[in-house]
Amino acid sequence: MWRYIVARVAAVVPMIVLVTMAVFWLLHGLLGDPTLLILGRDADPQTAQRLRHELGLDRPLDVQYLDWVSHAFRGDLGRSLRTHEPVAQAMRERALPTAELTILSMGLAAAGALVLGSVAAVWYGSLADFGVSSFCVVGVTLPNFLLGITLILVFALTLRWLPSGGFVSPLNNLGANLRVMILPVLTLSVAYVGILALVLKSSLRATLGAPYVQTARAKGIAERRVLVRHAVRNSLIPLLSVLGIEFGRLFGGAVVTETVFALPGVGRLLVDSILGRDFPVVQAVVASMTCGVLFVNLLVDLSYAWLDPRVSYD
Amino acid sequence: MRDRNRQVDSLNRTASFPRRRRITRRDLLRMSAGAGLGLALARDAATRATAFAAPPPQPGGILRVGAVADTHTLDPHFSVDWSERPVMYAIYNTLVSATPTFEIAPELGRSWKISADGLTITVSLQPNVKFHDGTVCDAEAVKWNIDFILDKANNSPQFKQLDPFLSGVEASGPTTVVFRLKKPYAGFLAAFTERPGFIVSPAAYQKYGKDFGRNPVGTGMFQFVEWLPDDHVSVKRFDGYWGRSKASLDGITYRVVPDPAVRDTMVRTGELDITSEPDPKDIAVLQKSPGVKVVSENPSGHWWGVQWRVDRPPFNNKALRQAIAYGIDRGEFVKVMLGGRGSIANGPTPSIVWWYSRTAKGFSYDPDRAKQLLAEAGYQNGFSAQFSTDNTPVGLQFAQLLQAQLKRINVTLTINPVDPSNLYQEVLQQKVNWTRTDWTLRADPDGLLRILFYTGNYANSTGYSNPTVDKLLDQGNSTYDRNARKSIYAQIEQQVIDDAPYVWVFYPSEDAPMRTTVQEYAWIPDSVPRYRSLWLAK
Repeated sequence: MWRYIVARVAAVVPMIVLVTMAVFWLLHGLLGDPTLLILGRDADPQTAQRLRHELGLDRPLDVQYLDWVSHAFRGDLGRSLRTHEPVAQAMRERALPTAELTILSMGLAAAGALVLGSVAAVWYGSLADFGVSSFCVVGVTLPNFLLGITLILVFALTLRWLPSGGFVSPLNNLGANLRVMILPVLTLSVAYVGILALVLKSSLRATLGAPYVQTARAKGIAERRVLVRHAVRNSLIPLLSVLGIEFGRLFGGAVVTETVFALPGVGRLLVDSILGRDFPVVQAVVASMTCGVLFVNLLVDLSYAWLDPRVSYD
Repeated sequence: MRDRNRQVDSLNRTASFPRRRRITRRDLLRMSAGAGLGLALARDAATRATAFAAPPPQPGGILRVGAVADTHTLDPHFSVDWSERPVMYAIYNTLVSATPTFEIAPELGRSWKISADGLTITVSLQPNVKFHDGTVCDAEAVKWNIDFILDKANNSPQFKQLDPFLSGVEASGPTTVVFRLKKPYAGFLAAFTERPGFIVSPAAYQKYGKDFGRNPVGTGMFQFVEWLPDDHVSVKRFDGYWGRSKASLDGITYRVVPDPAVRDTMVRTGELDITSEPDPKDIAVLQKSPGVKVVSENPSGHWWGVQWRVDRPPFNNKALRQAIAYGIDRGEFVKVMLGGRGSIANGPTPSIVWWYSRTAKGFSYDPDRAKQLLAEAGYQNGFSAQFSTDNTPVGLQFAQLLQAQLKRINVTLTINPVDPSNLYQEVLQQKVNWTRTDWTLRADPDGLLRILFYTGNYANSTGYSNPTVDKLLDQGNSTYDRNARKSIYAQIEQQVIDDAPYVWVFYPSEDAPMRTTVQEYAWIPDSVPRYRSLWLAK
């Protein structure tokens, strides 16, 4: 298994090189020069040219890329072109809200999907199944900016129960932190509850009809135990596969959610940096997001073996 | 209509700027309501004003501002983003300041003298001014700031604003700064009401280096406390402030809330005290919400219009440009796109600034004249062209309305949506020809008119070149005589309207939704909100 892990981690390196290379060429090729955005749209050409030279943007693209890679490998992600702030610091400052938002949302989505998917599968064809399935379809199709604004109007403006946005660090005040995170987490997780619950429902339905479940029932094991220990556990593999894939998309949702709820997260940093052609920041954020997604998928792969003893990586 | 707006607006602004209490529009309304309809009472207005004068500013409280976007730097020498300036006006003083009609008023410079040849300007500074770090803000400090901008090696975006006319600066006494000009330049002081005029602490600049933008030190009413990127910037009152009128507020927190609908909601829930750039759809609701008011500037100093390359076909045809100018129903834009919250624009100067020309005549909506001009231009059977716009909801809405209007004169538009941050670059690179555009006024007429219309200027993106306009622009900035300048800029205004390198469409109103507790808010035509002199009613 260790050999498998090492091989997977090693595979991350070329993946990151490919992704950052693609991002680098896309940004420079399609979006072009950041100097006008740094100097303002009424910049004079001489100053722009001087700045371009100073930032090394007048060198060939491959030289610029290799320069970035060699610095990155030495742990130097450079400074933001617009704020002069070290990139690592910019990311560190915004990591907490995004980490909390994505982890809580994924957790809530997985927990919600377990309950709803099981209900829909066990009582397949009932009113409960219909209700769960309808909720899931609505959840998947509802754009999350719309859901976010609606939740703000209901819970912040009308009922005045929760704040509209902002961020309080859990390290300063956990209670206040959880209060501000309720609406963003709900907004981000609803779509994923929908997808995951529908996947679990179909997978669980197949499992519930499997001979080994019938055998378990015939042995007189309580239905609840049959469901939890035998059926659900074995139905989790497709759910986890989808979860791993969806984790990448979760960052996309996090960008929108962070904007609506004014959370100072990495998603907003990324969008802002793309619009501002802040190449060093974009490169570093994309590279770390790629690492995050690959790491989660590695965990998902490893969990297969834990869930299903027939799976082995040796 | 525009004149009426102007009167109402100037009344509104005179009322709340500067900080001395005067009669506000609300006071006047209250007075006339209380006094019934008798006209005779009008002559007593001045006396009554004293009786009805609003209470003096109440000290205390933190003003919670909903900021549209995060700041990227608080170093004014490297600032280009609009979103940074509201914070900088709290932390720093400018050398001189602008009033709501873009008159120049003293700030760090308390008076100035212009030499007879117009080439030397001597500015006397306020005495005993200290930076927040305790160092002295004297003539040497001001000189250090200007030298920093003028030093090419620093690549300051502010360089382009000073270099064309400023050859050097000297500190001839502790509070006397002498500016040497390359040529007489009437827009000199106005340039120092903006970013080149913010004076930072040289000692702090040397201490923090590249990180100064995260550790700003100025002489302003408020001193920097903290900045959590994408979340908030907070400042607190600086008790050592040099000015006679100190800040009433204990502090200001600028919370970044990018979504306009959420900012509006937060003002309604009381989570924010004030914000700007509301979602236009929310304004009616905000005005009706308890505890909320909306302070507007209409017209604003920000215009929207279209531009094209006048040196490239098909728009190198003046009759064609004028035909399209006649084919635009500006009233419909204001009504449909702005919901009535704006004014039509016939030229580049709104009625709120001193160089506005009452005589300049723009194009009114006249489809018959438009068709006639199209025929004269050689397009009897109509004309098709691509129109590029930023792919934002408002950019697209603008393009669609224009498309529908011009269809009526047989001009067919194909809309080309472009990423907002790319649009201007594509214009400069001449990848697109006919586009939507918008600009905000500078504190001096030479500011915007020169960069847009002078032959070959770096921001002249239309290829416009008219020797008469160039000559007038040179005349306009080389005399310090206000009346002479006003008449010169009126001629320029009329000429560029007729030549139509741009066709002006409207000035959207600037709106600031706020809690009714927020007092003394006033717009300046550069559309940058200043919060430092506000106070909160208990």
